[in-house]
Amino acid sequence: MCPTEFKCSVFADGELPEAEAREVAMHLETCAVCSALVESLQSESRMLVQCLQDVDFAEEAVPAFQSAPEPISLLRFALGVIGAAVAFRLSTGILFGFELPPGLEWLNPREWVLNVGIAINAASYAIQNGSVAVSDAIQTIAVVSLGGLLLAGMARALKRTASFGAVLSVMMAIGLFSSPGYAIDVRKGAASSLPAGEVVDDTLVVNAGGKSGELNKDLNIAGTVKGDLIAIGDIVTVSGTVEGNVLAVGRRIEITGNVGGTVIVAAQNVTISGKVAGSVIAGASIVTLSGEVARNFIAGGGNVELRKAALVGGNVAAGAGEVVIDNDIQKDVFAGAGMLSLRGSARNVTFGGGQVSLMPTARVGGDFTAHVQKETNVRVDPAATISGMKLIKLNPKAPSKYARASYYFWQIVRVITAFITGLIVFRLAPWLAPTRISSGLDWLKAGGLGFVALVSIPIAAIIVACTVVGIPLALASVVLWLAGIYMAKIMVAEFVGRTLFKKSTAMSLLAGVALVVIAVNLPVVGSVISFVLCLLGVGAIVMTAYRMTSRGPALVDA
Amino acid sequence: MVAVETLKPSEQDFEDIYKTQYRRVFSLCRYLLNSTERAEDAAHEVFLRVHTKLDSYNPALPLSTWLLKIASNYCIDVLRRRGTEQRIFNLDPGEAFDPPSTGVSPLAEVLAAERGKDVRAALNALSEKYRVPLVLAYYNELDYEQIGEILGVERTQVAVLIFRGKQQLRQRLHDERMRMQGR
Repeated sequence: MCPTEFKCSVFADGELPEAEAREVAMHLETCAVCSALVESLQSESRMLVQCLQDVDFAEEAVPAFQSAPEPISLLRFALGVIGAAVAFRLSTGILFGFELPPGLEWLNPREWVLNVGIAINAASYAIQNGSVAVSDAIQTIAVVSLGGLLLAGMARALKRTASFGAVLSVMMAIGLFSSPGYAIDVRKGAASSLPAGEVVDDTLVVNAGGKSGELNKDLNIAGTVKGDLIAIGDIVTVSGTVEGNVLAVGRRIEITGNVGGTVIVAAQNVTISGKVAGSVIAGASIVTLSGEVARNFIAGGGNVELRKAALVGGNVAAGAGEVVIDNDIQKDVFAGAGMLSLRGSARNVTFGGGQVSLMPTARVGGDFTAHVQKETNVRVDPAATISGMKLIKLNPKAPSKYARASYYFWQIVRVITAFITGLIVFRLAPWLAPTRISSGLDWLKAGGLGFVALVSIPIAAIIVACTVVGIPLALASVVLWLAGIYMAKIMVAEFVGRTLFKKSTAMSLLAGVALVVIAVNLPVVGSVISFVLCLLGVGAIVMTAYRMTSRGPALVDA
Repeated sequence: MVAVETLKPSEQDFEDIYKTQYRRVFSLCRYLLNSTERAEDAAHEVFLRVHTKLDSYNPALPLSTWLLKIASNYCIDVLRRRGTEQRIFNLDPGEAFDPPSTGVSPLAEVLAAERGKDVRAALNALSEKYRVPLVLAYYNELDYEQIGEILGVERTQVAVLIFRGKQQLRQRLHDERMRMQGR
């Protein structure tokens, strides 16, 4: 019986086990059919070798060999990170006019100030320059959501505690201050001012705005709005009557008329000289009140001024660089500020921050409490009166966190969790390991990319969230963004460990994570190092993912 | 080149090795990855590795064998990473050993392909599972044992893969010829 074609094929390749090969060889001597088959199989193999090895096939020119970029040494990497951190810290110090206190964590409010500022700047840039690509409607909605989100966040926070609200307000105000272009160049021009005498029975939503470059579109609500007013414009003036609440976002907001409800405004400049029956919540770089507020006045900004003519029926809570209170306030004043000058009167006054001055005309009906660093920061004019207690609480120099055992415990927990996360992620997605990002240039690129990704993802999410379909997408991208921020330092740790041990193992990852956690806990520059590492790590994630998708997979070292 | 193959190559020889062997390595990568662009990247990566591993080269082996082995390992790694299926070269349970003949005779079809171009086109149309073993067998000229080592499969499995691969190749060439004649 003839062997199968398969057997003949293996035989022709000389790969049959010896005993079987002998059998087949014997058979071939007697069988012409099989012997012809084997022969043709062998010629076929030769032909295939010839066809495949045909040199003409590779007519391509030999490209010049580019040796791999020299991996950056750990010392240089560390110096680079520290250098960037120091430069960054100095520049933010100059930009925002205050020093970052040491030992801030990445997620603390002040660093968010920076992020909010950056995000708003970038958003306003995108909004102003994206007119070609994005339709007017989408832009409008994007701006409304952005403003709404900011206001909602502020309002929510303010409900909790005055001081937290003040901090948040300062943060928002700085964000607004740092972005003069924020004031909404929404290109929805048709809807506009409400002339005097005209009455709107419902809630009015208006946004002014001209074509790009034509920023001076102002919005004047001179008529009467029976419902709420939601207004967005470059200059929003409410000179008529709004019976409900006012929610306004703009560059300049002036309220000279009457408002029956609460006023919530975010702008660069807010002036209220009219009458507000509810409370006022304002976030702006300059907030000026010379009108009447029946309930509470809550303001955050660079400068908050309550002029002599102003009346506040409730409490005043202000968080700002400078707060000047010239009027009489029925209830209490809470101020967290760089400087507070009180010329008018109030019941209790609680201050926390830099300097507080009670001018000769100041009258404190209740207690005066100041939380300051030094006693000399409280100046009370002899002519000023304080009916209750005068308490000066010196903020005790907080005992160094480095002296507490719990601090080390939590840092160890941090190392372990990051290590485990890294192990799991790199096990599940080995291609994510930043094995191809090793040269100084690569890391420089990663830093830039990280910056762009950190800023653009939330903005993109907000814009996408404007469409119903986009909401899950936006949520997903925000989750990814947060995950990326957490993963960022693990990426850097992987690199540090790999460079240190010359190979990538669980041990090297642990060492890298430990070093990174130590670095971000360094006094003074730790928080900024943390920020720089975050940029680098997020950039590394983006780069690796990009290479994975467009240039073939990431490589593991052989 | 011969001199290079008998001596342990030093750093200076690398440039020569690169110039003389690049095309060989590139062609292999192109066969295995089935993409010119990816082959360029892969060839570059392979030479980066060769560059760093030059010291570990055993001059007893022919240089080209060593290079092609690095390139094959690298490309198969790439294929594994790209695909969702890690064990791309394993036989399905239904694929019997000692597969039946298909009736399309060997040789004739290959010979009928006037130039290597048709054969290469047919080869590139095969799935990775069959393309890779054929390339290793006929471009690298490795035996079943060596192919099995690279692919991480048994020798007997290599025999089946190559046999089936050749059958598919013949079938494709046959169909193509019928199509051309039918025109």
